Amino acid sequence: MATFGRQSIAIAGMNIRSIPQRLWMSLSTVVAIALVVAVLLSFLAMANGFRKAQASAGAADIAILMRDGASSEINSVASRDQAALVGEMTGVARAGGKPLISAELFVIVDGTSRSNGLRGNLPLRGITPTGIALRHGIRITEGRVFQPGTNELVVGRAVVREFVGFEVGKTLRLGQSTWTVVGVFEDGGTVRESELWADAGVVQSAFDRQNFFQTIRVRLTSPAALPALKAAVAADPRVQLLAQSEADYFAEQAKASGGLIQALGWPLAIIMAIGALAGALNTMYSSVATRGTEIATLRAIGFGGFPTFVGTLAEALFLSVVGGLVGVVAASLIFQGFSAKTLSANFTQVIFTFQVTPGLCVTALILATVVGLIGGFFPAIRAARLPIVGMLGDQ
Amino acid sequence: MSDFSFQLRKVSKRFVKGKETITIFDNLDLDIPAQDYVAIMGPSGSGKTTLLNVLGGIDQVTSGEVLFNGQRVDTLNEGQLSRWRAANVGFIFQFYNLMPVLTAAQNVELPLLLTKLGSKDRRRHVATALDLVGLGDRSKHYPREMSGGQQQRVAIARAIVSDPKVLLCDEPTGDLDRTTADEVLEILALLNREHSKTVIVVTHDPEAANHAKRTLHLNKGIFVERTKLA
Amino acid sequence: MNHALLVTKNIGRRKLRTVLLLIAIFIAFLLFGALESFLQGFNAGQNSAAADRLVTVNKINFTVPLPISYVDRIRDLPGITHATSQSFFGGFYQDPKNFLLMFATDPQAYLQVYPKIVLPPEQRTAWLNDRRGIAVGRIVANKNHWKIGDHIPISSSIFSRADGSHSWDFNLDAIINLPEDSQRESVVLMHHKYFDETVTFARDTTSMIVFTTASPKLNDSIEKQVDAMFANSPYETSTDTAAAFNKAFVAQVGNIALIVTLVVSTAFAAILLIVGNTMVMAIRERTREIGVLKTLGFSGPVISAQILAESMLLALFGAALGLGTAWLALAATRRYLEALIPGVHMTGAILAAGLGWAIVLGLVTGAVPAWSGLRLRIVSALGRR
Repeated sequence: MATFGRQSIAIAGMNIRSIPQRLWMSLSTVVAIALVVAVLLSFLAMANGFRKAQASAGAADIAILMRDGASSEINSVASRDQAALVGEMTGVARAGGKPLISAELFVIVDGTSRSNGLRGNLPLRGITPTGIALRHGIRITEGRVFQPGTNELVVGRAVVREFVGFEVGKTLRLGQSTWTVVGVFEDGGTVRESELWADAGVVQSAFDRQNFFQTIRVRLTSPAALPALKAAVAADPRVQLLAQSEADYFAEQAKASGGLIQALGWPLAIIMAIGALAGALNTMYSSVATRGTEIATLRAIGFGGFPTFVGTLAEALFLSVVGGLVGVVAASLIFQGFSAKTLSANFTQVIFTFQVTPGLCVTALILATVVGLIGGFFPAIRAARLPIVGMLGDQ
Repeated sequence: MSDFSFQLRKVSKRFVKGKETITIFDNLDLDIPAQDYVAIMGPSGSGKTTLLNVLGGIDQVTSGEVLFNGQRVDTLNEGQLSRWRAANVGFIFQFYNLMPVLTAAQNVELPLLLTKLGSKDRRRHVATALDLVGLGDRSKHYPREMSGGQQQRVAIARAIVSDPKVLLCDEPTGDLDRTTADEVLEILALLNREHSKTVIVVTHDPEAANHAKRTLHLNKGIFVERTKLA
Repeated sequence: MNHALLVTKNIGRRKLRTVLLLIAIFIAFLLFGALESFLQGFNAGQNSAAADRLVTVNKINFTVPLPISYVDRIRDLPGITHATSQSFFGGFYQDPKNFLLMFATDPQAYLQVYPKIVLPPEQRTAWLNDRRGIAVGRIVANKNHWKIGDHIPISSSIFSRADGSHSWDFNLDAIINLPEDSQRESVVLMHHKYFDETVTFARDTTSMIVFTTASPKLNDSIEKQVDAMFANSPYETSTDTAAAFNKAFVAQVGNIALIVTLVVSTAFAAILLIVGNTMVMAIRERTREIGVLKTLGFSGPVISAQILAESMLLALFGAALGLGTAWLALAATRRYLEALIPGVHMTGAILAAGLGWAIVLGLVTGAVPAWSGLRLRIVSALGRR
């Protein structure tokens, strides 16, 4: 058996060293596989980036309360009275005797996209300092937070990146009021960086929504307190709201679009892989054909059929793995951190960046390897079965 | 009108390989009258095949004149040469050079695609040519289904189907056994005798030379002529 | 026999290789056909919008309401022919995920603004006179298996009823058939009066006002005029053509066009390499035969034309297979696709573009081998064994 291994390695080595003789043909296979891998990886990185932007926004110890039946913040309604009732409920954390609760407005305003100059929907959140404190990981990178009671805005980093006119110091008109951007915040690339924040009371009066909010957020005493809060909310007929953890809420949001991107990426990649497979088979069959005499010679001096099979398969795998690596490197260089935006369930723009991870790279490389395996398998069988006599005797 | 098929006037052929200039032949003169049957013999590298290529207009001379029926051939451009070849010469090669994807009849028909003949006329010409080489019943066979001798006879049929005046043969028996080779030589002789073709054969085969009216020995680019005694 | 036979015989020479090449070409054109058709569906709104139709929304954002009185004020402007309100209802049927593109509108005015909608007279009368009536696009009706006369409970994700419930009962009075405008075939239209009577807020408001002008030439000045009329009011407006409005909305979903372009060009780049190299190799294998053909008197241009015909035939055949399969697949899944993206279908323009690309592919992949066929010297061709 040991000699099988040695024979296989010898033949594989010869095959791979002879690739330069079929340079263009081999190169076209490598590039075709690289392109397929790059497409797959870019879709996976896009889906992953979108999912991360949403999923990492949610905390398990924050509960979000929305109108029964509302699947996103924009469709929810909550009143000041409801907020007051929720603040007294069990499970809500307190600081200095006051509940950690944030009743928030969510309205949509227009921004102008840098990439296409068209109007896009941006979420303007009416919020309070307590509300900001409920969000972990918020960091002001430039300027400061708005002064309560003023027409000041603090904006997410991604908004500044993707939309025109949100730099600190810039002003914008919304209806009859003029607002000034006073700060930029960062939140580790989450969906929150796609938001504009202003004082809740000011937003209420500017948008004629006195005493009305969209959602209520509370800090839980611990993630385990959620069921107790849910029960308390359900027991009070005056509070017609539904509580869920912020983590669950964002996970649900992520599923909607992130799933769609991924659902598109895989079929596309597989269809393209079939095309690349046709190319790989072609290359390998012609490799076997041009090496016919050489293979027959080896067989004649005692090399086995199986090592011939393995040697040919190794050549195909070599080409596909090289192609896969080229594709992974190219896609990583081009798409890592690539900024994009899409419409969320809230009807607003979610800005996210493509995230290439080692895990996704491995997935993409597996696709390349599968193409190589299948693309090498059938030609390898042909190589192993080549008749010795005919190939040597001819010409 | 000259009744010479070919006339070579002070023809030289040289090519440059690396720093060396290799002379194949120099100031060669040669007259081949119409309906002649010439065998050209000589050791490997003596320039026989190059000479044949020059006659067939598929290789250029370095200097000198090549005349066919009194007309210059060496000055024709590629397109003119293609048309000239299609009309005037038929080639027969050592390895037959049939198209593997075409049947015997289709192989023979190939040169007729360059003529204005309709398909019915073409088929008639093909049948005649195949009958002449004794392969009328093999028209639907592919080259791989035929013996070497049969393939060579198909090649001859292809060479004569458009009724050229001259047949240029490069080692036509080189790949055949004696019996088959003799059959092929008989056909060439018949074509010369009965159909007034000028036949020029480059060969190593003394038997092939015996069929010819005369034999030219080419050695280091110089002819030594031996006319066959009738 | 003729030249064409020679070409097809050459293509059939290595059947496996030809089949593999055809698969690669097929895949690329399948992707092209399918993705371009999807893109066409995404852009259907901006493509099908009439040139004389304009949309006015709140300047802050189209989700912020405008007073319903603006409809009359706009209609009264010179140069404006018809105007209607259109309020998002946020409707869904049975499951919040099965959302409907549902608007509350003034049915009479709506039909004036969209004159291409022709309802059967009895359906039209029924809808106009039935306060709880809805007119439903063909695609929505098909998807939900609704038919004329059905009583349909529809919920809203935005509004609730004064009585606390979230569900409205409607009568399906009319079905809109307008194949050229898939958006119109995807809407559900309720009476604004019924909307106003039942909702707890947003009475006397509308999300958008859609109107037609006497001529597209007036559009620019009318846009400015409308917005100027409401400037410095509590509800400032932004007016645009329906096409531009739709385009901006679709662009928010993402740069679909860029994604399609990238994927399609990637696929094309891959087959260009695969087919191009294989053609070069195939012709190189035939060097000697080409030399023989030239010896027989076939000229360089004839040989080149045969090679180009060969690559062209491959490309066109593969493309026809790919485009044809894409067309069939789209047609077979039309009912399902329409509900997702109305207007997904392969247009003649897509087909023509696909065939155009096939010709380019054929020319490019045949170019190098055709050139070497043209230049091939007989002596070296015959010498190469």
